[in-house]
Amino acid sequence: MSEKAIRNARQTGAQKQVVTLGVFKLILPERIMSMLNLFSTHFPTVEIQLVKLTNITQVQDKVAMDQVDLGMTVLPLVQEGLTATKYAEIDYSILMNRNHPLAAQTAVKLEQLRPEKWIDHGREAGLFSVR
Amino acid sequence: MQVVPSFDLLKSMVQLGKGIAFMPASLDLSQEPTLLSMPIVNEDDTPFREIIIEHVLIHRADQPNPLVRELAGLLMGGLSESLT
Repeated sequence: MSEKAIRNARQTGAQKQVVTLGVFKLILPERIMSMLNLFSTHFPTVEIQLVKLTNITQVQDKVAMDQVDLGMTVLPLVQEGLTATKYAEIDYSILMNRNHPLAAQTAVKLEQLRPEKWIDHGREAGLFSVR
Repeated sequence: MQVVPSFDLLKSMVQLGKGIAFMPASLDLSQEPTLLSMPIVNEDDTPFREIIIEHVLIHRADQPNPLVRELAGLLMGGLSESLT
């Protein structure tokens, strides 16, 4: 590599701006890639560093504490001092075992689930709650 | 209803056949071969949308870095439609 090329590479590195993006580890990779593509299309020199976090509450905590710059999370916000911009509305689905009697269906009606035993996660799981 | 303190435990309970659970359709179950995410439909087979989850991009309201604010601003003005 020539001296000029090395100098150019160093200058590029010096100009590079890094932004951290906190994401809930279970968000679909395609969704994260779409966000990264959007950023890189408009800000090609910006480097986005992904920080995988264990739940959506932790994403909000890390942003509120200024430990990451941006976060992909869901409403409601449990931290104050945050600004949120909606980018998607997602349906709920039913998590079930592949051996479940309804698992062969392509979709399920709530009425069919009336006799089922339900499992829910508490608020401390930092997920979403349906009551 | 059984309440568990973490999503990992919830998945384990469902894997053991102890019950079923609501979950966002956007979660990645590719690493969970014994589990599936089943869409919910109304009686007329249209998608059930009475409860939805709103995904958002967040930053601190007092964020001093203009670049961070500009990145978040990309989602306004219709650009967010490409992410849905």
